[in-house]
Amino acid sequence: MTAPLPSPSTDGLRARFPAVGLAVADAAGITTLDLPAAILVDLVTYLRDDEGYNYVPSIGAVDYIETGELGMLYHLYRTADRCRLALRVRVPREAPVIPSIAHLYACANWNEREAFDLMGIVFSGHPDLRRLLLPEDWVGFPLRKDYVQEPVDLPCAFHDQKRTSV
Amino acid sequence: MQRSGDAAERIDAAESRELERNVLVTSIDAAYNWAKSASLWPLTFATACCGIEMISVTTPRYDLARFGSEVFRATPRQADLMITAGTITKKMAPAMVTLFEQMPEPKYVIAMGNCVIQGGIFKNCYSVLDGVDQVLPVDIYLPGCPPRPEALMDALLKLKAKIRRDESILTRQRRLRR
Repeated sequence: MTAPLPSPSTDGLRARFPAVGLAVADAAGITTLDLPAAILVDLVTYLRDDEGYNYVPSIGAVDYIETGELGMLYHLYRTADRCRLALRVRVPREAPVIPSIAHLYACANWNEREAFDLMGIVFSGHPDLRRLLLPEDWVGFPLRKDYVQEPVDLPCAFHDQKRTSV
Repeated sequence: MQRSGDAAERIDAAESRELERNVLVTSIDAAYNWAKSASLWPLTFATACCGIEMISVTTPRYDLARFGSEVFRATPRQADLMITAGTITKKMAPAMVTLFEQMPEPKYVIAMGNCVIQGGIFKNCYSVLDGVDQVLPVDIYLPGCPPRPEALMDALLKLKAKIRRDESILTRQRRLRR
């Protein structure tokens, strides 16, 4: 069995951000914070600059359709002592707006574009929020649990040029 | 009047055998179709897993080059054959058609793998073009997920046989002039 992941100390965090709800470590043994979207940028700035989380392994979107919310899950990692921290943000489905952290971690730029493309979460302050994987003129957000595939016009007509050749 | 050239025109059995070994009689159409089929240079067009099998068929173990596909060309301007090896998404389809339009005639298409025949494993996916024959004229359908390199060789051989049955130049001219 591999050694368990080191858990970061959250005392400095708690002192600085009393509003943050600290969830019990989840099944993978990762300390997880549930936080409102409003303090996300301040918290991540503090974690990057003062606590030394210098690497972001994963940024992903989650569809909490049972509670009518969309959410983001950020994993932060500290290479100094190999500590991992997870952040969870939930926003209502009708107005899913989360502040962007692309100016803090450059990798977040495309991860947030992907979340916007496939889930429809809008990142305020993102320098270039547009679709990443789907065609630019696509309508809808396919990875939402209530997505229904509409018939889509083919992007190009049938090409019969070959039939004139010998 | 003496029948001139009698002895000179008759060919004896030995000369006949010699002629059979050294003289080939054919038509221009047959020769043209044979030349087209014997030197098919594919385009390096691989989007997914079938591309790996397409690469394997060019390796020495299977060796596609001995059937005329000596090189794979990266530019469509110099390619005769497009092997659509791999899933085509709706975003990729216009680019694929652009490449096909840039290929000079005569050109051919082998649809390699289940994804390009009818969508394959991604049949119900929102982003996948289920069947490349909706946008390209396909000559040979090669099923498989992925088809083995020997299967791609067989597809190429079937394409060569199909090309040798192409319509004659005269028929084509008459058809286009109409």
